[in-house]
Amino acid sequence: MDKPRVDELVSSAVVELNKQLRRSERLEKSPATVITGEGAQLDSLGLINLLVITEQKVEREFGVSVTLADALAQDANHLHTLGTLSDYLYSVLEKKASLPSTITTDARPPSHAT
Amino acid sequence: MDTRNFRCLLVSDFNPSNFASYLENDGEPPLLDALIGDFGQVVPLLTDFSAPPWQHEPDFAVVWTRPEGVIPSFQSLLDFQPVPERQLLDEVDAFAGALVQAAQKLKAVFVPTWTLDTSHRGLGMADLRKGNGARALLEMNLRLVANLDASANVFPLDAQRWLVFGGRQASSPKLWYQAKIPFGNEVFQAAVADVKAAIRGLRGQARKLIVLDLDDTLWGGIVGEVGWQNLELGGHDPVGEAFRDFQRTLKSLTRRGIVLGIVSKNTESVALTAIRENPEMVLKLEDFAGWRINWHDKAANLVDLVAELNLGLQSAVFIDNSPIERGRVRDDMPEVLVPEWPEDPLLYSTALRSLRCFDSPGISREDLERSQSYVADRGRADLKHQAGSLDEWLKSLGIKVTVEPLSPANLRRAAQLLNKTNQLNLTTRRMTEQELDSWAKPPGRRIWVFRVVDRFGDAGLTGLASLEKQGDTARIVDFLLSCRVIGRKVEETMVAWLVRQARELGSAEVRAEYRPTPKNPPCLEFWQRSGFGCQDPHVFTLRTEAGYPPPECVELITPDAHD
Repeated sequence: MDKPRVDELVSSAVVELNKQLRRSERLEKSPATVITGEGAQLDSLGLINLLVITEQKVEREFGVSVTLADALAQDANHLHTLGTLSDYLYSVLEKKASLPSTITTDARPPSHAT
Repeated sequence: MDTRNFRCLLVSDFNPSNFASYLENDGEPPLLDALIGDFGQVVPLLTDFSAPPWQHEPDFAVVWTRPEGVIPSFQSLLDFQPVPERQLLDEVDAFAGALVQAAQKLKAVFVPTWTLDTSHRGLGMADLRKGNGARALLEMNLRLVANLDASANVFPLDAQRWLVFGGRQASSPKLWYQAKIPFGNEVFQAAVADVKAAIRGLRGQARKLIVLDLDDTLWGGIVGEVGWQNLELGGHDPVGEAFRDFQRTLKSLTRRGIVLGIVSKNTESVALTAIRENPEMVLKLEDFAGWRINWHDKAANLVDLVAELNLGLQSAVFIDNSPIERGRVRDDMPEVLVPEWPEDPLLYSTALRSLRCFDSPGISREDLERSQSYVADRGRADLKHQAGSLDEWLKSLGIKVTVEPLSPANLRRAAQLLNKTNQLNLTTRRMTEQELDSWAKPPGRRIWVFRVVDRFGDAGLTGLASLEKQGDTARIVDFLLSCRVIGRKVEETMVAWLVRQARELGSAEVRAEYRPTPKNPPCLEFWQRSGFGCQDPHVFTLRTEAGYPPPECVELITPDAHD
């Protein structure tokens, strides 16, 4: 697990989100871009979309399921900027990786209940 | 010419914000502004024209619903409660009725078919048995589309295809629970592409011509090197089979009115021998409306061929396996659609079938006969070579022009012609079938269509003209002729008919007002030499008492002749 890969994933999520946003509302792919709280450049639906897109990318890239919406409830700062989002995501993935059998290195789909 | 964005009303039982965003952000023409009604208020919004979104006078609507959201009995069925089939279908009928009602206010309504959440398994192996979820959904969709058959401007769209684009994330529980959005973004993006293709089709902007390369595009191998006997085509070989299937797909497109042409760097005689002699060729020489097979620049050849076929570059699609040739045409002629093409011939058919640029609201008789008519044109061109003067040549063609009033039988083709004719078009009015029909209703307004046939073939319904009586003057509102028959005195024949009709309406003067567009200068040139007076550069008039004799080389068959 390396941090630059997580940063890159968040950036690619922004690229995908920007396809939905009007030109004037598009996010800059910078760690300093504010996404929640004062000066936020996203409305609530935009934030939901960014988090869901990121979660889907995590699932495809790392083969694990994460829930980023929880982050707000824990600490609003987790999702203040794109940079803090990336840091938070990295910490979640690190935690998952340290637990036995909860993270895969390939992009296997999560198992379905049988 | 209409340059404003079209307004598209989105009616849904879910939050359509993501769909609206993709619809507005998509840069492909036509550009759309989305109008969103209160979601969950589907039937009230469809039937109450005082609701706020209707005040913006939408042009189109997309009515996208989840079956359990608008058909209450279907939700019961999904909950494994017994529901009489009659009740389910009655609810579908009522919903279809609301769609038809809304369509009266719109140019067109698009109705994505109902789909189930991709996690739905219902009763598994029994779910397609009568009375169960998946089976009921099939029946509901069938009932819905059958109900909409009679409405010319309501188009069901196959939403199941869009879910395929979404893959495992086609249904999105995360977006659903957080924002009441049931689908993933790929689904909406696929939907936007289909909706836009449908609107372009309605506006007569579907592509009509495919220009093909030969070597490694239509067959495998370089014919000049390996000879026609050794081309990879057909047989029991995956690549040969794939090329043959690609040709079969092209052939099927000719049956729905798409014209084929060839632009290839080859020795013409060698390439034509291959087409004639290779027994595995699905496409025959008569399937091609024209070709440029030589060693010249392909872009120049393409322009030349398109001009010979009297089409515009915006009608053409260029298919070539060489990225260099594709790049050259794409850079030089942005109007031509140059799809990215797979390197692997096994993917050629799929690539062709997935193009949306041929989408059109229906297939007319003229569409079906278009390919043959181009072959006939080649015969006419040969005769022109032999004949002396223009009149002599026209006389030898035996041209017959049949005029008939606008009627339900010709309305569809008339609207198609109105919406796609650019060059010989006086005012370039664009109207739906419904609008055209309504326009002609009040007294003092008349619309006629013109069919053209000669000894080489039937060009079909290729002309349209309309008159509106305004006091003492009969104004020619529409005057348009397909470029396929321009220059055969059909234009003059149409004018002669209009002058005669103006006199019968009691008008002392006929007046044509030219409205310029980037594409219709040929129409101005025609009116300038029409014999009409011209006080203003764009206004042409004639006293009806002067008369306007029809050209001698054309036989005009009028409605009274049918009586």
